[in-house]
Amino acid sequence: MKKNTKQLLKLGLVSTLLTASAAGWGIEKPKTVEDLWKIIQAQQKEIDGLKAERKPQGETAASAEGETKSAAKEKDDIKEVSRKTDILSQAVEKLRTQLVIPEEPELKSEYGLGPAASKVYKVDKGLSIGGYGEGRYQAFVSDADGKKDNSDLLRFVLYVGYKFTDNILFNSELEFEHASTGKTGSVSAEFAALDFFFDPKVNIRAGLVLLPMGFINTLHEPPFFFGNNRPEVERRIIPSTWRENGAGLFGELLPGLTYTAYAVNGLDASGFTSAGIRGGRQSGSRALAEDWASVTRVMYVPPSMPELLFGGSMYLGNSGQDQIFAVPVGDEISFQKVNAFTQLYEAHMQWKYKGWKFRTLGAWGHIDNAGTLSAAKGQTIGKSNFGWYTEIGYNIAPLFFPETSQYFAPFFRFEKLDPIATAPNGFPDIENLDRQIVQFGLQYKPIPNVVIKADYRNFTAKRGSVPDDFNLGFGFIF
Amino acid sequence: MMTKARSAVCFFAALLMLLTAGDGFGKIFYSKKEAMDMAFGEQARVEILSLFLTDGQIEEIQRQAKVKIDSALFSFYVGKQGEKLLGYAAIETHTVRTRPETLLIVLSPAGELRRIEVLAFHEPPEYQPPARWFEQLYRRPLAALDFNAEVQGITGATLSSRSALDSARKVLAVFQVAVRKGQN
Repeated sequence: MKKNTKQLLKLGLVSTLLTASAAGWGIEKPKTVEDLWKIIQAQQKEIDGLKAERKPQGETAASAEGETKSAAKEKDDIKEVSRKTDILSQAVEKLRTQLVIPEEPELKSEYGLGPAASKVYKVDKGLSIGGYGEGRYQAFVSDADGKKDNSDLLRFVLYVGYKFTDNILFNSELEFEHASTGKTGSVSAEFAALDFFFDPKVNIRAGLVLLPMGFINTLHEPPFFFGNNRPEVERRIIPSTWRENGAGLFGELLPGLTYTAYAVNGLDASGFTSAGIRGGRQSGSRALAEDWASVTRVMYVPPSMPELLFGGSMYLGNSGQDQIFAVPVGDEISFQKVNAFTQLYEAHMQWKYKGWKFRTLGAWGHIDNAGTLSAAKGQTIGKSNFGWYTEIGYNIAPLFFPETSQYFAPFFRFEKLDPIATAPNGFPDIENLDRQIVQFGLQYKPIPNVVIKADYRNFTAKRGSVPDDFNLGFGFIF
Repeated sequence: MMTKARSAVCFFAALLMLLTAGDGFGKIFYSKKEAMDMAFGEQARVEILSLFLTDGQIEEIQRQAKVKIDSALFSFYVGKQGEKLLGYAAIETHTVRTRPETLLIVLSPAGELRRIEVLAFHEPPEYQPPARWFEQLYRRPLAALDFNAEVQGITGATLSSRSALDSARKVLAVFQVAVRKGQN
């Protein structure tokens, strides 16, 4: 009996220690695989010891009822210790693998495309489907100038890719804009291209391609930019979403140093307006290809500081497309062809650090023969244009819930742009287009693939007014 | 003036070195979930089989696999569909030259090598053995998994193919010593 009491005390002590070690996770988790392994080894040793001691004990105690109960308790205790050992050994395996690979698949950006658009690069072979969508409610809060509040399913996009072999794949983005073609919506191929992989340094892409300029044009999935609306600089100066037919090279030249270089059909100058070159995009639809352009981007992510990204790109090419423009000269009309050589340069930088996300981008463009184009179009086409913006956000969710994986970030953005930075001789500047925008808002991601957004934009023009708006919306990728 | 210029050059040189240093090629190809899907299919139930190897078992595994076992705890992922056993898988990480490679090694229910996939590879990509090289290892017995036996080497990826081969032998040996013997 005395031996039995000693045995029970011992069991109780072991149980308490083990419970403390396992239950203690809630207070302080074992930090390394080694810590867990030590705990497991200690537990296994105790289980073996208990089993060895329990055998003769069981035989002598069988006659007494109390001792039978204690034997049953010992059995339960051993079962409990074994259960905890299983839990711990599984935790060790989880920690081991977590050090080298993530638990769940992560959507990641590949070759500058958005994470959902990059799905096909990760499949073994065959079909891949991804997508994204975004919708918002827009309320004009001041200077509405007749504009009405509205709600809109801005975009629903399907990415369809097919990997034929390890070296050849097709990827595409099919976009449904504004919900219905019966209203003001449209269905378009945003990109549809074949990739041929030869070497990490040199690969070929051909088809309808997204021009690699700025942040948004190639990576415009809603969880990855602040606000319901894309930055105005990346809409009006860099006319996102900008895609043309063409072909070119892409790859990684040095660790972290990537490039993309395409030859594409040039813009169509007949579509240029005072608001910029946006109307000159041909979007791969029966595009005029008398004039071609080159677009080149270089991006660098320092291998030792992957939270930093530097990038720059340039677009160079004629936009006249061998078309004849009717230019009023005095009382007569002169029919002229123009080269309309169009240049656009941009540089950008991103920094992500401990919940902070900072972006800045600057772009400058120039159009030759802007005077002739302005005369032919009857409106001022900017000889030069520019825009820049900077934004910063900070994820405050971990301040309140340290273990959370949710994202809740207030952000601030400032933009300045002018599509007629220089007006051609004899044509007036349109000062209402010389704008600056102050924007602030909130970005909430309950999971990384889903975002809820709220923001306010205050527009200021050099002359006149521009409606200010409040936007509330959602976005998702899959 | 000269000193200032030199300091500036040194500063930018140091900054450039800092920016260009490090593991630029590191690539994680698959998550654990994707690895399990590849091993057993999306519908499978996956259980963990933790093996606590005894000194005798470690000695026997080391003899058969010709590799050093650095931990007495080894885990197999066991794929099941209903009561049907689909196979065993292990996730093995080892250093190739100076950086790690993580492999998924899949065995059939009978313990035959069925598939190897690279889950993560942090050396430059040219050192990574191609999928077709792994294919020559499939269904070979443990004794044949040796460059001196039936396995062809691979130019330019000698170290990574050697470590992959070591991992495959280790997983097969652990299975034979600690799982199959337990079943018999």
